[in-house]
Amino acid sequence: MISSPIPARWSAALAREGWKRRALPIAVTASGFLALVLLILLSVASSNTAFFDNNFIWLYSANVVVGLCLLTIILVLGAVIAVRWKERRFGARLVAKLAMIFALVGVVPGLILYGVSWQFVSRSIETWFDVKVETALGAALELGRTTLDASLQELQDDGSNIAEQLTRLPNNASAAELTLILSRLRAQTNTQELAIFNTRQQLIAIAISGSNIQEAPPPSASLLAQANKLKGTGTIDERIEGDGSQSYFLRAVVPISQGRVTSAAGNFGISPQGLREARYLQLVKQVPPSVTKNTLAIQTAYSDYQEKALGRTGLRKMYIGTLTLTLFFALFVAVSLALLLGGELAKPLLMLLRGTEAVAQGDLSPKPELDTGDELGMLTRQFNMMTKQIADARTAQEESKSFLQSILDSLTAGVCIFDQQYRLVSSNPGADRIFGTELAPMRGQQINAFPLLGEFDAAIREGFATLHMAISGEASQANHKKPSATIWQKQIQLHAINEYENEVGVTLFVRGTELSHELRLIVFDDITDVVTAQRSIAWGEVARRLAHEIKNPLTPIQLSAERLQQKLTGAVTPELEEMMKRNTATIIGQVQAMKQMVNEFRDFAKTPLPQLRPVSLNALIQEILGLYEGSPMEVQLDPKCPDILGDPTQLRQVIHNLLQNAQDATLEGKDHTALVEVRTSVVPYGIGAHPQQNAVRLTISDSGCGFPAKILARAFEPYVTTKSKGTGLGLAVVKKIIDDHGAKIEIQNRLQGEILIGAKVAIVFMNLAKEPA
Amino acid sequence: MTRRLNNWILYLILGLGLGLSPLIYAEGIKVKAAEIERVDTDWLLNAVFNIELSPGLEDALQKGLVLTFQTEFELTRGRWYWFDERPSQVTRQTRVSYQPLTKQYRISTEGFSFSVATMREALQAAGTIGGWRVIERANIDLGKTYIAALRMTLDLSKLPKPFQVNALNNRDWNVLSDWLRFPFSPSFQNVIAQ
Repeated sequence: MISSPIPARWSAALAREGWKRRALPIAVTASGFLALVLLILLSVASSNTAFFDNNFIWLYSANVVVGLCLLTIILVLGAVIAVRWKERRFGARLVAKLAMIFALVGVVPGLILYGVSWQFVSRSIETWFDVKVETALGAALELGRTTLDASLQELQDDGSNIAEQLTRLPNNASAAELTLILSRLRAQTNTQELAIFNTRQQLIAIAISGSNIQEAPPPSASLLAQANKLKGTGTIDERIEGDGSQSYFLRAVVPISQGRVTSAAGNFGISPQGLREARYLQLVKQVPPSVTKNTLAIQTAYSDYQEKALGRTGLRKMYIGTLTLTLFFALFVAVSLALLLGGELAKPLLMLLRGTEAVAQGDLSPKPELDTGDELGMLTRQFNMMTKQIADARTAQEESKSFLQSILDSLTAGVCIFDQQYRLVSSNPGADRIFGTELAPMRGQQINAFPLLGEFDAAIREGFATLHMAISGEASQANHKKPSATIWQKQIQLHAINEYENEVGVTLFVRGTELSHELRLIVFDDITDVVTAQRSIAWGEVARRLAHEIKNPLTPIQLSAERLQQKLTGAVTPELEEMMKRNTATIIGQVQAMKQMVNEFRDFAKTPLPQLRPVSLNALIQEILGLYEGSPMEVQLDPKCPDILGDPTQLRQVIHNLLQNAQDATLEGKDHTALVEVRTSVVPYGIGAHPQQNAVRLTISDSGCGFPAKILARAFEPYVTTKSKGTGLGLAVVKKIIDDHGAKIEIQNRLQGEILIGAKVAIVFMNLAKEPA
Repeated sequence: MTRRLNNWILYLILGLGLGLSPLIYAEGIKVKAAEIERVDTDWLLNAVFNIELSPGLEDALQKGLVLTFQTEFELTRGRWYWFDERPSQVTRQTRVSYQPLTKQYRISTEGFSFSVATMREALQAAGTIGGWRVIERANIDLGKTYIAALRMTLDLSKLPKPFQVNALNNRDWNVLSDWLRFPFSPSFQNVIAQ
């Protein structure tokens, strides 16, 4: 029994072949049943009942036909197996083998029995019939016959004697006289009946031993003629009594001669009267019952023997026919059982085979199980368990793989795997992000074919080359187990060209190692930001030292120039004085400018940590805007903006710087009259399921020339500027302050369609003051 | 095995011979005369069949086998709308047996039996049917014409089983007359066929 639901495609296949599978067993069972019934009838038919006596011939014919049918079915079944074998149908070989084994088991003993029985029947029937027995029976019958004949002869002789006595009687003796004489003679001869008939078979006189004995019929004309001719004749009459018992009666007929004269006269035809007067004596005597019984027994035995001897061919045919039919039936049962059992036995094996095929094709769904409780059923269950374990293992593997994949995908670092020829095997989205291009299409190719990655390729080749060099150097001394742990690392600069045909300087930190002999793992990170930060720190240090070193001589220079101006005013010729004043003014002006520059450097380097306290950004902006009353701006301040945590002094510097920049940019732009936009707003942000938080965004937009792409990437680095004047420290300072506040700053070009219409700086403050409770 | 093969060959030859036998021998049963006679209200059948047995059958009879001859008579009237009407269908059986002790043949019919000395007489007696009541007045319609049919067969089912098996594939044993059919009209006093 199939306990688990069959997969849909299997059940469809079953339904398709359903009628085929059902039709054959039904036909086989039906014919088998019919054959069994007929066979039983035939074997029972040897008992002698009226029904079988009357219908035996039909039964026998039906059995012959059924035997032929069974033989046909056996042949058809064999042919079916052979065809399936040739077609190499799934499972046909197994079923055929099992069927053959079963059939052999059933058929061979059957054949042996059949052969022995055949011999036995043929021989034993022959042994029943023996010449000696036949002769003996014939002799016995002859003996009986002789006995009867002897008795009859005796009776005939008695009759002749009586007839002799009767001839002495006068011709005209009356019937009564005759009867009297006959009675006396009957008693003498010990016969049942004495009667006198005339030629017309008419009874003249009779004497019977008892009153209850049936009168014998008058002698027939032929009998009389015979008696006349042979001077006496006799027959044996057979009487069947009411109860079926037989008895024999001897009957002798003797002519009574009427004297020579009369007889001579009759012979010569002179006296027809005399002929008419011819009389016959009939004697009837019952054969003694013991003799009758014995002779009848002999006769029955003789007849039976003769009948059987005559019918022995048929008898043998009958037995052998029954035997053959039994053999066919046994064969049929063996073959059909073999097919059925073979099929049953093969079923679980076939199921397992199908299951393994399915598993081989990757289908790990549960397979049907056999609920038989034997080893085969156990096998199917174990198989299913195994499949389930494989499926579980695969799921676990896939889960861990997908887990690893998700880690790789979310990694900011790029991970690439190359083979020995530096063909790309695998990469993660981090790598795509760093290179700004999809690496997946390059799989299986060498990446130096792509211009963007040529430098990278050269770098990793070099890296692995150095690694191998190192390993081969150590190989002679160190053990061989360690090299796999060795890695190389290096920092490389890529000078890729972006869409604006400007260089995008990307700095990568690359580590490489060999996973195996074939695979090489590269992990790299974009450290451009780190490098930038390091650079600004370095700049700060340089600026601080330069400021210190430069500022010290500036005051004496300025004082000396002022003193020169003071002392020489009016002491030299007006021409000289004029020149001196101009030069000292230049010196003082330039020193002043230098001081300011030095101060800026110092400020950049020594920007103190912000003193954070709640500040209203809107109020701060309003306050600063007071200084710019001469140049109106478009201001949109969101009154809902909450207070932020910040250092007002530093924030003031930031806003001031940005507004100054925006104003300068607008003046340099095409539309001098355009207004600078200042805007604050509340923006929500949140990550995943965390409660949504608010942030304050400040946006300052100008209508200047915008930034070239190259500048845009490094706008916040010191000494990067678009202005004709300026130290290029403004935005660097702004960036530093904003970073210290934990806020984010972003610079974008403003685009109207394809046309650059200015730049926009956005700052998002996420560090809000706590709401008063 | 060779004996069996020989038997088969013998059967084959016998079969071929038997196929031709009706042309050569006058074996079988033939109707010599048949007559339906009206007695009082019913009708009686008198018929004479000529029975000729094959040597094999004669031998079997002489060895004590009881032969049963069955005479069948039926009266039918065709009906276009249904199966034939069958007002009368009767059979009667005559047994002929040989008594080796007395060397007599015994013929028994319907409880009556007698013996004759020779086979010829016995078969003649078996083939003679006299005063067999076959049609009753109550069963037929006087105004209609019927078809009477008569035949005699050797009843194989009364033989011992081995002989039945033998008879299956031996035409020697299939002794029977053709159906004799003749019209029967109740209005005539006597109907004589052949």
